[in-house]
Amino acid sequence: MAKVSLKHIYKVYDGKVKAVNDFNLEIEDKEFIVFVGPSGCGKSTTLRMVAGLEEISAGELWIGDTLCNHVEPKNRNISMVFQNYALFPNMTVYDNIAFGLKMHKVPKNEIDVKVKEAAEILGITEYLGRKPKALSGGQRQRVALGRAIVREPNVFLFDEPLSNLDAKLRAKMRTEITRLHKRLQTTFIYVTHDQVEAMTMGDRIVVMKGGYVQQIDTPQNLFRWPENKFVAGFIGTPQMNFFSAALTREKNGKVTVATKDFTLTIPAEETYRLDETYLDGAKPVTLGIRPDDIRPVVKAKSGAEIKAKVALVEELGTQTLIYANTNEDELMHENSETAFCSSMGENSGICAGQEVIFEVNTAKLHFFDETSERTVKRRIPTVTVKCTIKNGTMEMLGAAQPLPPALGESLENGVYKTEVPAGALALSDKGYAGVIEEIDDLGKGRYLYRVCCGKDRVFIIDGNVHKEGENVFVTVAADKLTFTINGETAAEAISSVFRLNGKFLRVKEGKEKKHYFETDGVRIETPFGFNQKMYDRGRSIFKRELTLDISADKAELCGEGLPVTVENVLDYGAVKYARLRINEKSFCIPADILPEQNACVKFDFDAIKVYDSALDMRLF
Amino acid sequence: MKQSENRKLHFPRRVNVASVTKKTAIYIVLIALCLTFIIPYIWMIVTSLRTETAYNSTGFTLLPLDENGKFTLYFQNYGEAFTALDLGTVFLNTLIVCVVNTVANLFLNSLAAYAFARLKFFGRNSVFKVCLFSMMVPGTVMLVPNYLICDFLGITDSIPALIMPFLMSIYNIFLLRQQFLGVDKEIEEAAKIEGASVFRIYFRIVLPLVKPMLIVLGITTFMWNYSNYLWPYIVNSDPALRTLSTSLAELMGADYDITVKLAGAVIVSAPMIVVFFILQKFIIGGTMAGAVKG
Repeated sequence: MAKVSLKHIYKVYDGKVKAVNDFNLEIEDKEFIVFVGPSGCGKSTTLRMVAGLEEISAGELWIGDTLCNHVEPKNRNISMVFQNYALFPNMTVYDNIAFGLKMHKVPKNEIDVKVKEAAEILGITEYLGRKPKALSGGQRQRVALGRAIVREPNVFLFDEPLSNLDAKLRAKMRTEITRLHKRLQTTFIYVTHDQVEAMTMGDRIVVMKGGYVQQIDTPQNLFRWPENKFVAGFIGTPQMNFFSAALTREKNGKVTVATKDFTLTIPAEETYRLDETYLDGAKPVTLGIRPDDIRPVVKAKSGAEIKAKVALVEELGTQTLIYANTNEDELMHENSETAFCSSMGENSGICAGQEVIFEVNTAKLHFFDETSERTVKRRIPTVTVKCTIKNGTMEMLGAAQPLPPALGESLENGVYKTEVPAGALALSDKGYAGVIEEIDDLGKGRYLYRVCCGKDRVFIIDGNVHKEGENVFVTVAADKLTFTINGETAAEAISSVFRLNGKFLRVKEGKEKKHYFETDGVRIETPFGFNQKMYDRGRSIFKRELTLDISADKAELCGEGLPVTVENVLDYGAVKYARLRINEKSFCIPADILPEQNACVKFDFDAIKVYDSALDMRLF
Repeated sequence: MKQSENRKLHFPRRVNVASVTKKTAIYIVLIALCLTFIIPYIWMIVTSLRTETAYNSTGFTLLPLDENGKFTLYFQNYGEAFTALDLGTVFLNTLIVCVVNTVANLFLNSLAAYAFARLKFFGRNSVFKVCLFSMMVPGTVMLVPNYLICDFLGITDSIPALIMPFLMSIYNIFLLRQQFLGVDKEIEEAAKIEGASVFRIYFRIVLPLVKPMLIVLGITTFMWNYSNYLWPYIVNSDPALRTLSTSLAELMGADYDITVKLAGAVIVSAPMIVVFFILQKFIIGGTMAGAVKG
């Protein structure tokens, strides 16, 4: 039993084709993780890297406390079940199951006990003397499972094990594998392209596409809060319906969703999570409605209704799927943009060709940016509130507070739109007064509270348990706010990370060889540990264009290091930052004292992330 | 309806003239070919069972007739041929050469083929291409260099000289490599994860899967070594180390009756004929498999 950590794992073929990009995942002990995605998304490659069957191009793989990048598969204490069973055809079922134990030189009588026990669990005792070719698909897969469980490995890997089975057997084996997981209490990593398998089996699901991780979350959260259009479309059967739309915030707070053929109105209390920048009617969005949230009715109670003509009705027994189209002319078009699917219980007499009113559950609508396809309705949103700056005070969230000096320098009197991320807010015993309106359990002892402060709603993550309707105080970290006026940014949030582009150099100074990182004509000497990590990447490291991501709080001003010009000091009250400049590049780091005009900045090189700029690949 | 009613009734045609003619033609050609191959052999066996006088007194016949035209089987030719061939020693030598060569050849070539098929090493494909290219060089061309090497090593007139030049066979490597490539990679990966080393995977998992091909190559290698004449003739001058083929050649050149010589030829060829009939299922199947995979 072990934890598995994949840290910035990449798979690059021939130095060009990236099959897996920056894969990050912490798999807890005894967790059932499912990798899901369409063919060629890199899920199997990732699994094979965990198994040791593929080399890891970059990144770290930890199984338990061991760095396993270069550990032989046999020494990783893992078992794998393959898609086509991969049984040894020349051996009997008994020998197949016992093979791994024999390889590990387990005494014969012990092997016998274990093989028979595994066969008992999987119900294949009577086939132990047979060769694999004399077994059916399901039996063969059970033998493969037996071979995997008999060694009692730390991690089980499954590479689409049920793909070769028929639908009925697949459903049966699915429950058997889930039961096996409960019984063995071991870490399972399961690869599948079938989202039903993923949803029913996994504790958490990793959705992948084109070598990139799209989202990692529990099945419930993936369904309710998809990060992008791909996840929304991939998870859930039948698939989510998509329409091109534009969003407009009305004066009464309601939001109108206008598509080509219909318009929906969302009540104000369901719009707090929507990204305010999309509510001006100008930016096109994709509206997503799950078939369960669009149901045929006689008369819509909420007023959110769509009139459409039914093209096809599919009766599945307890469920009925209705395929309809708002545009009558495209009723039978296969790829019509106005077609949608609705799901209901037993059919109440709806048939093809009929015009039907569908009611939409506006609380469960999804919206995605049309180009980036990212959601504009986040679970943990960045809200935009109105902030009035007036004579050294900032009035927002229903109260006025003194303006921090740093903001006082850049903000004139006026009314600003202020972006407030959840991370900028905290519940406290002083600050802006508010009332908790809604509580969302994020898991692991974290709660997301929607707090009403004045007329504004903000979202706050907190570890303490509060009740709905409770009066609380909210503090705001002013350095994490972004102020805009008339579409222009007046003050930006201080970035917690800054980025330097440059090269790694080796310079001969006298008899010694010294190593530097050079950016924009200035250089900083790099420590031994960092140099060694660089050398591990091979000789080409000196030719590569590199990008360093440095946490602002891991950098400090001192007498030696990278020469910088200090522009000014930003005083946010609770924290102070120094704005530094290297030629054209400027960034901020926390600094308490007022430094001299020219200074040097030193980093903690252990906490730096290094990327290859050309490949866009993290090196370490 | 009307159309079908107006049609004439007829029974299905029993004989398709065209196909029967085609088949007859094919069978005639096949029988002719068959006779071309088999008549000399039958004639050889028949003549080896006749006396020299009977052979000289009658013309061409496929029946063992004596000089009076009576059916008689004369076995003494075989006794003479046995002595003339020095069959005991020669047969033992041949058996040693063939068995050692076949076993070692299959073992070494399958190892090489597995390496070419599965292991990753620098220059794998280039080396394999060079090997394939060497197949274009006729074996006879290699006689002189091989002899010089054996002479340099001081192993002429010895059993190793009869074996060593034929331990590796590119043809066998190529066919086995194709077979190994056909083995499902996941089976090997499963074995790897279960803790098997590369050699164990090769020996315990992969080799049993290509057993039919190994049998075929074993038979062909054995047969090739059995009938190899030129190399033993060149590299070996010691009469104690003669093989069946060289011994038979000597018999042919010596002053014996033609019937004795033919008896010798029958003795030498008989084991291979028997082996072929017993294992023909594998030989034909294997050649087909090789052809399709290749």
